[in-house]
Amino acid sequence: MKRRIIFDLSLILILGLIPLLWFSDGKIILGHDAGLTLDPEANFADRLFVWTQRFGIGTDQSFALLGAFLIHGIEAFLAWLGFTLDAQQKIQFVFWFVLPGLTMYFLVYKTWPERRCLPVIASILYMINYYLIQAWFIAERTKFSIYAGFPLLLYFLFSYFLGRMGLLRSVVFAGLAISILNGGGSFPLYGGLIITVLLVYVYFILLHFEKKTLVKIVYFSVGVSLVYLLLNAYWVIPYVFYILGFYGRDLALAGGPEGALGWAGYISQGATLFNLFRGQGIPDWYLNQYHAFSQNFFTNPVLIALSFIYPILAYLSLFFVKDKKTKLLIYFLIILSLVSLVFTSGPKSQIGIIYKILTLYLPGFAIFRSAYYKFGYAFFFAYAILIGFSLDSIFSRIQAKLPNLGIFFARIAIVAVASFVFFYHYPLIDGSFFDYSREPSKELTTRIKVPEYVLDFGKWINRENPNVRYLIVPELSESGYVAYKWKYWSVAPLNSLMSRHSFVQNSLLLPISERVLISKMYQNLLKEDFESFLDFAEVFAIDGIVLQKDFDWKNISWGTTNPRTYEEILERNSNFKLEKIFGEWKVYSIVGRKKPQRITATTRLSFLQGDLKNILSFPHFDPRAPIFMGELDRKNSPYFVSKASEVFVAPECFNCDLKGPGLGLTFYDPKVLPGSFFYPIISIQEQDIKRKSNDFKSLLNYYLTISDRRIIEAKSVVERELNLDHLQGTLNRHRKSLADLKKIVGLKEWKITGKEENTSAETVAAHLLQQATWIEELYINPLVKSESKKILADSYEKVLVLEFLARKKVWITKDASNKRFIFDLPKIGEYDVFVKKGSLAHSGGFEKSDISLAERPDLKVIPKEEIEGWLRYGPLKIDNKRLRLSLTDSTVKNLLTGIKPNLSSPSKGIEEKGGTYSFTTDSIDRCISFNISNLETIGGRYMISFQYRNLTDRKDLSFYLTTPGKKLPKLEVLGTFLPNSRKWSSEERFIDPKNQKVNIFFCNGFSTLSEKLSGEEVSPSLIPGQTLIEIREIKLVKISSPIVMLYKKQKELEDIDYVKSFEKPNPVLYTIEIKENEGPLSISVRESYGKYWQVCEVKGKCYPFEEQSHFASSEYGNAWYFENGIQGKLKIYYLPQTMFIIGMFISTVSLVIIIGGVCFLVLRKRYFS
Amino acid sequence: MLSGFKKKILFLVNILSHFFKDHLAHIVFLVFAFQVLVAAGALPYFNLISQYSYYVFTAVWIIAVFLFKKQITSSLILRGIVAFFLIGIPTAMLRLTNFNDFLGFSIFVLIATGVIKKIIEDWSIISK
Repeated sequence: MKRRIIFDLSLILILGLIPLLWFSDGKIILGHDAGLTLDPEANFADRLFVWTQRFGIGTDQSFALLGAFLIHGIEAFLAWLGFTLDAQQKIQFVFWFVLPGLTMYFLVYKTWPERRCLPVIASILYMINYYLIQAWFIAERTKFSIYAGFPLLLYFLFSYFLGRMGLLRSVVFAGLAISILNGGGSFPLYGGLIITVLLVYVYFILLHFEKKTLVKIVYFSVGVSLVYLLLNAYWVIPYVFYILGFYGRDLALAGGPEGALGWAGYISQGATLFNLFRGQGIPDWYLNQYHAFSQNFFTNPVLIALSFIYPILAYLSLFFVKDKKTKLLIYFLIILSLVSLVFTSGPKSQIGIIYKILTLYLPGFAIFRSAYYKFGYAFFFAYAILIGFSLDSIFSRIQAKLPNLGIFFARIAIVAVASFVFFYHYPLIDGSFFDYSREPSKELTTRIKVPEYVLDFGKWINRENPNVRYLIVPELSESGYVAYKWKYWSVAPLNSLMSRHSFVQNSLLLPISERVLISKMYQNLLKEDFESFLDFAEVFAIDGIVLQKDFDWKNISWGTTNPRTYEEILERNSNFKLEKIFGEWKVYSIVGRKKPQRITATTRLSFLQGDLKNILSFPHFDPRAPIFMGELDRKNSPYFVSKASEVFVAPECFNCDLKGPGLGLTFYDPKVLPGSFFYPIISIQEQDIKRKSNDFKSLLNYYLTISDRRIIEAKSVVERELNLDHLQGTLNRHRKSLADLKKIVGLKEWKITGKEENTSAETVAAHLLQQATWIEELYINPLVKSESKKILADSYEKVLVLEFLARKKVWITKDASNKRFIFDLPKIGEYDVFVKKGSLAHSGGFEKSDISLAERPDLKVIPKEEIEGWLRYGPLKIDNKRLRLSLTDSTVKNLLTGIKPNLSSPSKGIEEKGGTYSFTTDSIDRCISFNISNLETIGGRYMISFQYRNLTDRKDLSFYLTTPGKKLPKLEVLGTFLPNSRKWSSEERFIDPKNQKVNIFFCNGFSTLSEKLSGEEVSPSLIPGQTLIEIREIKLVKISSPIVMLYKKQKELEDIDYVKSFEKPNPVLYTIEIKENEGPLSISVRESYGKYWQVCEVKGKCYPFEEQSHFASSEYGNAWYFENGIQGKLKIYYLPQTMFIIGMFISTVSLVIIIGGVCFLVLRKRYFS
Repeated sequence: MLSGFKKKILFLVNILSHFFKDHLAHIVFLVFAFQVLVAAGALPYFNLISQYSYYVFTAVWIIAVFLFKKQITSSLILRGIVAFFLIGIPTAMLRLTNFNDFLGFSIFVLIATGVIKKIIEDWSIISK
C-alpha cells in the first residue's frame, strides 16, 4: 500500500479514537433518544419479532426500526463476547466515528487519486462537524449508518454515469452498500439521499439530454432498488404491511401535514441560510438556551469569525476548478449544497415555500418533518469535498511556488487542518455535548452512571417468567418524561431497555386511550380504592408492582407523586406482599395471584356502553370476562349486545365538572370577500363540501359553518368598508343559510347519538348567540342601509328561533348538585340502576340522592340498598333508547359551614350580619380569610361561589386563594380585583387542589405606599365609615362526577376459567389448552389489540382475522367470541411475523446469491480468464 | 488637485453615461420588470406571500445577470460572494438577525447564479 494511504488512514483512525475521551468513571450513554440499552442481547432478541411487550401491554414494532437489525446485532454480538457495557459502547462508538471517514476517503481517493490532500481532508471534515456532533449526543447509529453509506452509493452512481463501471457491478455494489448501511430502516433518514440521487439524475439529463441517459437512470434505479428491496425484505415487507394499515393514523397523531409543518417550523428556527452556510443551524442550539456550548458560537468573536472560513473555502472551489472531470463534479457539489439547503432550512427560510408546498401537497413528504436532521447530511457531504478541494488547490499552489518546503509540507498541512477541525469542534475533547441541558435544577445528560441495583434488577427480571406483568410506580407526570435521580431522562421507560418483560406505565409511547386508563388505575391506588385498583389490575393482567424510589419525583417539570406515598400504601395493605428489594427499587406481588392473568376463557361476555373506568368495582362485574365496548365499535354492537351475558350501561355525566362546553364562535378575517374576483372559488369549495356531507352530523356542521361564514363576511365588508354594494346580497345569503339550517335543526330526531346531539346542540346554540350579537352590531352601524336592516331584522328573528330549538335539545349539568346524563341504550328493557357511592361528593347524606328521567317526569327513585359501595335504586323498565337522566347529589354541602373566618387585625370596618360580610372605609387594605383543610388532591375539584356588590364606583373587592405558607406578594393583589358591580353579582371560582389546605381571601382595596405615607388611604369623596362592599352566600362545595350504572343480566353466569394451561414461547405466539365446553366461549388475551392476532387450531384451521368474533376488549385487549365454543390446543399467533420470516428468508437467500455471485466473478476473473 | 478630481468625476460620468447609452434598452427592461413585480405584490394572493420583496430581488437579479452578461461575470459574482461572507463576520458578531437573514439569502442567490453561469460558460466542456 502506498505510504500516502497508510498516512491518511492512520490519521483517520487516530481521529477515530476520539470517542475514548468521552468515557470516564464507568459512565455510559443512555437515555433521551439514544437507542442504547442495558441488555443488548435481550434487546436484539426482541427485535427478531414484530410484536413486543417491552413498552407495556404490547405493540407492533414494525415501524420501530426493525431495519436496525445489523446495528443492534453488532451491539448484541459485543455483549455476547462478554464485553462490559462501557467497553461495548467504546468499541461501537469508535467504529461509527471512523466509518464515515473511511467511506468518504474511498469515494474521494478513487475519484481524485492525484490530489494529495483532498481525500483525507474531506474525510476529516465529513467525520467531524456539528451535524454529527448533534447526532452523537444520543449516539444516533441509524444516522451514522446512512451517513457512512451515502458516499459509497454516490461513488457507484457516478462511476456508472461517467462510464467507469458497468451496470451490474455498480448496481450490486451500490445496493450492497446502502443495504448494509441502511439507516436502520428509518425511511425519513433517506431524505438527503433521495434528493441527492434525484439531483444527479436531473444533472445528467440536463448535460446529456438523450435516450441513453434516461435508460441509464431507469436501469440504475430499478437495479439498486431491487437489490435494496431483496436485501432489506426482512424489514421492508412488515414495514409496508404496517404503513398500509397505520400511516393515516400515525399522520393524524402527528397532526396531519399541517402538524408536520408546524413541527418543522419549530425546529427550523435557527436554520436560516446564513447559519447553515456556516455549518450551524442545529435546532438544539437555538431552541435550548441552556445548551452546553452553543452560546459560545453566538457570542465569541473568534469562533464567529472562524465559522466563515467554511463557506468561503467551500465556494472558492469555483475559482480553483480547471479540468473537465473536476468541473463536472464540483459544479454538481455546489448545486447539491444549495439544493440540500433548500430542504435543510425547512419552512422558515425565504425559500421555505418549496418545503411547505411539498409537505402540504406531496403525499408522504410529511415524514421529513424534522428537516434539518433528515436532509442536512447531503449538505455536509458537499461541503466536505468542496472545502477539501479548495484547501488541496491552495496547498498544491504553495508547494508549486515554494518547492523547497519539502515533501513533508503536504503532511504538515493535513495535520494542521486536522488539528484546526478538531479544536474548532472542541466539545469533542470532553464530550460536553452529551450534557445537553444545563438549566439549573433541570440539568440533563445522556452520559450517566447506572446504579448497580438497576443492573441487578435487570438480571433478575430476565430470569423470571416473561408472562408476569408489573406496574411501575410512581406514575409519570403529564409531561410523560421518565427521569431518575441518577440522571436517566427519556420518553422511553427504563425497563424497556433492560428486559423483554412487560411493565405497565403511563408512558407517552402508549396510545392515549391506554394511558388514560392506566392513569386512572394509579389514582385508584393512591386513593386506596383497592376494589377498583384490583379490578384494573385484573383487566390489565398485572401481577405485581415495582416501586422505584429513585424517581426524580420532585422536579418542577416532570415531578410526580412521592414514591414514599406509594410505599406506605403498599406496605400497610394486605393486598400486596414485598417480594424483593434492589437498592432503591422494591418488587411487590399482588396477593392471591396463582398464575399470570394473560389469558382467560369464560362463558361470560360483557357488553359495556360507556367508559371502562366507570365499571370497576361494580359488584356484578367480572374483570376476567372480555368486555365489548359498545361506543368504540358501533357497527358490531347489535350483534354483541344480543350475545352478551350481561349489559352494562355507564353513561358519562355531561359537564359535571362545570367547566362549560366553550364551543363559541370567534371572529376571523376572511381573505376573500364577496365582490372579489376570486370569490367564486369560495362558492365552488362550499359546494364541494356540501356534496361530501352525507350524514346528519356533517350536514349540520356544513349549514352552521356557512351561516357563520356569511355573517362574518358581512361584518368584514362593513368593518373594512370594502365592496359595500355586495352587503345586501351577502345578508340575503345569510338569511337563506339560516333557513337551510332550520330544516336540519328543526328535525324532531337528530340522527346522531345522544352524546353527539348534546354537544352539537350546544355548539349550534353558542354559534347562533354569537351571530345574534353581530347582527345587533351591524344593525346599528351607519353604513348599513335600510334594505339591509330589514334583512338583518328578519335574520335576527330566525336566529332566535333556531337558538331556542337547539337549546331545547341541550341536557347539561348546570350546578353542583343536579347532575345530568344523556345516552342511548343498546337495548330497551328492564335495567337495575346503581350509583357508585364513592363517586358522590361525600359519603354521608346520600339517602336523598334521587334519580329521574326527562322522558318520565312522574318517576323519581331513591336508593333502596347499598351493595359493596354501590347504591342500588332497583329495576327500571325503559321503553325508549335515548334517555335523559337526572341525578341529585344530596351529599353536596357547603364546606365553609362551621368555619370561622379570620379577620385582619384590627378588624374595625369589617362586619358580619346574617351571613353577609361588609367592608367599610375603616377596613381598607384589610381582609377576611377562610382556612380550608382536608381537600381531596387526587382528582378532587371544588367550586367557591359567592355574591358581592360594590356600594361605590370603586373596584375594590379583591378575591384570591393561597396555599398555607405561601403569601401572595403584596403588589399582586392589584391583579385580583373583581369587576365593579352595583347590583348583586355572582362569582364562581374552581379549585383543582394540589394541596390539602387552601386559604380564601376577600380583601378591601389596596393602599399604595404614597397613600399610606400621606395618610390619604381613604378617598376624600367617601364618607368616613361608609360601607364599600358587601359579600354574601359564600360557599365552597366539592364537585362530584357520579357514576351511574344500568345493569342488565341476560344469561345465567358461571365462574369457571376454561384455560387449562398456556405458554408464550415467544412474543408473537401463545399456545393454550382449553377445557371441554359447549359454548359459547370467549377468550381474552391481554395484549394490546392488534387486528392481525389470529386464533388457529392445532390441526391447522385458522379463524380469519377480519371476522366479527375478534374484538378489542376493555378498550385495549384482544378477545374472541366463539358461539359454538372451542376446545383443545390452540395457537394464537401475530400474523405479520410471517411477513418478517418471509422477508428474512428473501434477504438471506439474496445475500448469499449476491455475495456468492460476486465471489464467483472475482475468482473467475482472477484464475480462469 | 481640484482639476484631478474634476477629471476623475468626468471619467466616472463618462463611463456611466456610456453605460446607460449602450444599455438603455436593458436598463429600461430591468426597471420595467422591477416595477411590474412590485406592482404584482398588491394583487390578491400575491399579497399573501410573505417576504415578497426577496422574490422580487431574486427575479430582478437573475434578469440582470442575463441582460448584462459581459459586465456581471462569474468571477465578479464569486468576489461578491466572498465579500458578502466577509461582511457577515461583523454583522454576525453584532447579531443583526434581519440583516443576516437578508445576507444569507443574497449569498444563496449569488452562488446559484454564479454556478449556473459557470455551467453555461463551460457547457461545451462538461457536456461532452
